[in-house]
Parts: sequence; C-alpha cells; structure tokens
Amino acid sequence: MLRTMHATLLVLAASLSGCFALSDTDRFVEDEGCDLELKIRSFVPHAGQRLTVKLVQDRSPEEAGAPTRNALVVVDPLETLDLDIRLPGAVRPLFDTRRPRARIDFYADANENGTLDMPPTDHSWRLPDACVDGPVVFEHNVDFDTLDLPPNQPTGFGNDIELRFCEEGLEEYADSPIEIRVEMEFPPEGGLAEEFRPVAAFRVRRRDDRGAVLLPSVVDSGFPVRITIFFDQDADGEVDPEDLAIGYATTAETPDCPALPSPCIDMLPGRRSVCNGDGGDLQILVNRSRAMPPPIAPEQWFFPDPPFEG
Amino acid sequence: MVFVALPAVPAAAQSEGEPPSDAESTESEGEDDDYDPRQMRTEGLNDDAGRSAFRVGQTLYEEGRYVQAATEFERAYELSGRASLMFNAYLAHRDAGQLADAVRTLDTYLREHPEVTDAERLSHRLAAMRATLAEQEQSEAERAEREAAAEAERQRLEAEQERLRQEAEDARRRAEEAEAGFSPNPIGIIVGGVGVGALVGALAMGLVANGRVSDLEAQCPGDRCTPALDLVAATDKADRAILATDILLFGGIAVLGTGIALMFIGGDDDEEAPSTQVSGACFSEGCTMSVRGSF
Repeated sequence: MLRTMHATLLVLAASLSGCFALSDTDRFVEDEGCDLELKIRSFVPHAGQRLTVKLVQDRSPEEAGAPTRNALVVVDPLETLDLDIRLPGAVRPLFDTRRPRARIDFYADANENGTLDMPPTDHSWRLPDACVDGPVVFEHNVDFDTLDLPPNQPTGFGNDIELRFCEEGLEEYADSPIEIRVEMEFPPEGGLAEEFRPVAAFRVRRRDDRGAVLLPSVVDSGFPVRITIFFDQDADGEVDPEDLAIGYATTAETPDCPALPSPCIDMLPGRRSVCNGDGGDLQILVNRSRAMPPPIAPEQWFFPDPPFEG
Repeated sequence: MVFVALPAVPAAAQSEGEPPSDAESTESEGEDDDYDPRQMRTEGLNDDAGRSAFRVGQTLYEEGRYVQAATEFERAYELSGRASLMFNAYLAHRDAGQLADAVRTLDTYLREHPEVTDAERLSHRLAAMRATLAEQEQSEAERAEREAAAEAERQRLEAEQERLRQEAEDARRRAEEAEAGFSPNPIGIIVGGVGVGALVGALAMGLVANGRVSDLEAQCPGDRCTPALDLVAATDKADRAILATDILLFGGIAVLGTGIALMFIGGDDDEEAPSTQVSGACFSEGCTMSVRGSF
C-alpha cells in the first residue's frame, strides 16, 4: 500500500514538474524589432504596375477599429524583375503584448485603378510576421491572400505629406526616378529612447497633374518628421554620390501654409519649403535650395535588379 | 456306565434310561417348548463327572441361566460322551437365543441318535433353525457390510474435514506470517518520507516555476519579449525556480529510492543477532587467531 502510494506520488510529481524540468529560458530574447524587408522575385506579370507594401498590425481583441498601418512602401511603377526592399528598423518591438505582431501585406495593382481589389483582380499576399517572414525571398505565385478592404482597411498615422515638384533648378531630374524616405520620431517607450524610424518609402516616377506626389497618412502631426528625397539620375536604383538629395525636417515651429493660388508659387516673400496645411498635413515644396551636400551615400532602401526585358 | 435318575427332573425320572416318548415330547413342546425342564434327557448319564455337570446345568437351566447351563451340559457330554446331553445343551442354547450353537448341538444329537422317535420332527426343526441361522447370518453380513461402508464414509468425511481444517490452519498461519513477516526498517521510512517531502516541494516549486515561465511567455509572444520587460531579471527568477524544482525533483527521487531500498534491506526479518566468533589455529610457522563479529 505504502509502495503504491509512493509510486503514485512519484508519477504525479514527475508529470507535473517534468514539463518544465527540462525547459529553460534561453529561448526568450528581447524584442528589438527588425527591418522591414521584402524580397520579391520574378514579378514579370506586374511590370509597370504599382506595388504597394504595408506594415500592418491588428488591434487587440479589447480594442475596436481597423488595423493600424505602421509603414507604407510604394513602388510606382515596378521596373525590375526582382526587387529587395529594406527599411532599417521600421518594425518596432511589440510593446502591447495584447496585440499580435506586425505583418506584411503587399499587392500589385494589376487593374491599375489605384485602389486595392479582391484577388485575383489585384494580386495580393500576406506574410504573417514581419520579423520572421519578411526576409524570405518571395517568388511570384498565385496563392493570393485577401487583404483588408474598406472599411476595415488599415489606417495610417493620420496626416498626409504632399510633395510639390516645381522644377526650379530640377529640370535635369525631370525624368529621374524619385525615392522619398519619411522617418518619424517615436517617443520613448518601454525603456527605449526616442528615435526616428522609417514610416514611408516611395520610389516613383509618376506625379499627378499638379506635379505633386501624395504620401497618404504616413505621419502624425506634432511629431518630428524627416523627409529625404533622392533623384536617381541614372535610374540604377542606387544612391550615387552624383545623385541629388534634398532633405527636410519638421519641428514644433513649422508654420502653417499660406493660401497659394498655385502649388508651385514659392517665390513669395516669407514662403517656406515646409509648412502645415489643412488638418496638419504637411506640404513640402521641393526645390534645390535644400539640397544636401555631396557625396550622398546613405544606406540603400531599394535594391532593384534586373530590369524587365523588352 | 451308570444311569442316574434325576428326581428334580420329572421327565428324566419318568423316562429313566429311556428317551422321552414322542407323545410326551409333543405334549410338553406344545405347552412350553422353551422352559420346560422335563424336556431334559438323561439317558446314558452313568458317570459321576457327567452327572454332576448335568445337575449343575439343570440347576442353571431352571434358574434361567441358559448360557451357563449349556456350557455345563456340553461339559457333561464331553465327560460322559452321552448324546442326550447334547440335546440338553441344544435346549439351553436355544433358550439362550444362541441359534448357531443350538443348530450345532441339535445336529450332533441327531447324528448320534438317529433312532429317536421324534427325529423327524427334530430334523425339521434343525432345518428350520438352519434356514433362520442362514438368514440371520446373511442379514448380519449385510448389516456388517452396511456398517463397514458407513464407517468407511464416516472416516472419509472425517479425513476430508481434517484436511480442510489443516488447509485453513495453514492459510491462517501463512497470512499471519505474511503480516508479521515484513517489518520495514524505520530508517528507510524516514528517508523515504524525506524523499516524498522533497517531491512535494518539487511539485510546489514546479508550480511556481511554471507560473513564472507562463508570465514570461505572456510577455514574449513568439519568444520575443517586449522591451518593457526586464528580461534578464525575469529569466533569472524563472531559472532559479526551475533549478530548485529540478534539484527537489531528482533529489527527491533519489532519496525516495534510497528510502525504499533501506526499507527492504534493513527489515527486522533480515536482521541477525549480533554475534562474535573467535577462532584460532597453529601451524609449523606459528599460530593465528581471528575474531569475526556481526552487529
């Protein structure tokens, strides 16, 4: 009887404690976030189309509302078979553990209507964990994922950036691809110091009929923002020393924008290159006066290669 | 040869020297065939010893002591050789209920006096007695056989009962021996108890460690911990709990196993009384002595 009791107790103890007796805590690492990385390959079907990449995070079950979009990448048009994208430190650590980790949603605007449509009208895919799945080379395939459509479409930070290219002194770059980088300063959180992190990256040739490029909902007004614009004169995808770089930054003293009859009227006395428009949207008048001194050789965000044939 | 008239026996007196007539015998048998002393026959009793025995037998017969009377009549017959005495012995045996002896003596009498007038009647009687005797003997044999069978059955049942009782006794003794046979070593019980205590402690500490690891997992989805968590401190706490659990668990198992082993190897039934043995021997090179003890 005594032996039976001992054996039972032994089995009980082993079964309850054995599950962690061999476990350790080495598997736990500090979440440092990661780069937003995506390596697409063989995107021949989408040559010349607009490629949109979003860093999206769902809200926790206790929260209501659409997912948040923490970063936005646009390549318009897609000019190469393969393209690597890497926004350093764009994926922040997970501070609110009730929320899932950020994912990568991306799609090609196959019907070129400027909006996201259900697959297969547009070709859309999802990588569930931006820090785990992002660096994986993604071959083009037809296993499409249905992304969030309105009204559940991810919402950005709330304020747009409008870049106006008025060509004064930029005539030689009129046909060059433009790479626009937007970094926003995030306040201290979870023991981390305040820091600038990428929130948007556009590589575009197209401008609207006003000669402007709109970056929708990519910043929060009130937080410092840095905008860098590269003119890839030789269209090789690299930021060469010869390329033109123009930089802007917003501060608490950024003035409100005056009412201008034309987007490109900037020669008025007192007109600044960066101002706050309606609702805090940023308006930036791109001109050569804010050119950064050469040589310009920052870390690359886009790695296009090779170009589509024909 | 002297024939003696016996006054006390009218039949004998009446037929001095001669056997009784058939009429008298028939008459007397019809009146009282079993107890009439007048049936006694006295012919040929001419010697003193035989007569004396006859008289003793007659007296005993009159007193109803038929067995002794028959003995005396047969002794008188042996002394005198007179067959008539055998008839008297027949009567005494008959009245004593000794059928076999009655048949034997009557048969002797008829063989030696076939000429008696009632020989035919006596022969019929002898045949009837033989038949009765045969029936009695057969009945007696059957009864003896039944009794023997009953006795054998009784002995068999007694033997079976004894066997069952012995088996029950053996079983009870074995049970008692089993109960009293194993007496665990108290040191083993104490050590085993310590082991059990360690296992209980391992269980409790395991729950603590499990809780700490669960907290870590809650703060570290996909094993990547939020920067708000002091990962080093949290993992240190969990590691300490895990280490304590492992020590208590495996130590408890070892101690418990030791305790169980001690219970068996140190029990009272295995214990030997302390003893000391001294031995010595001498050889050509010298002498040796050894002391061997157990405790």
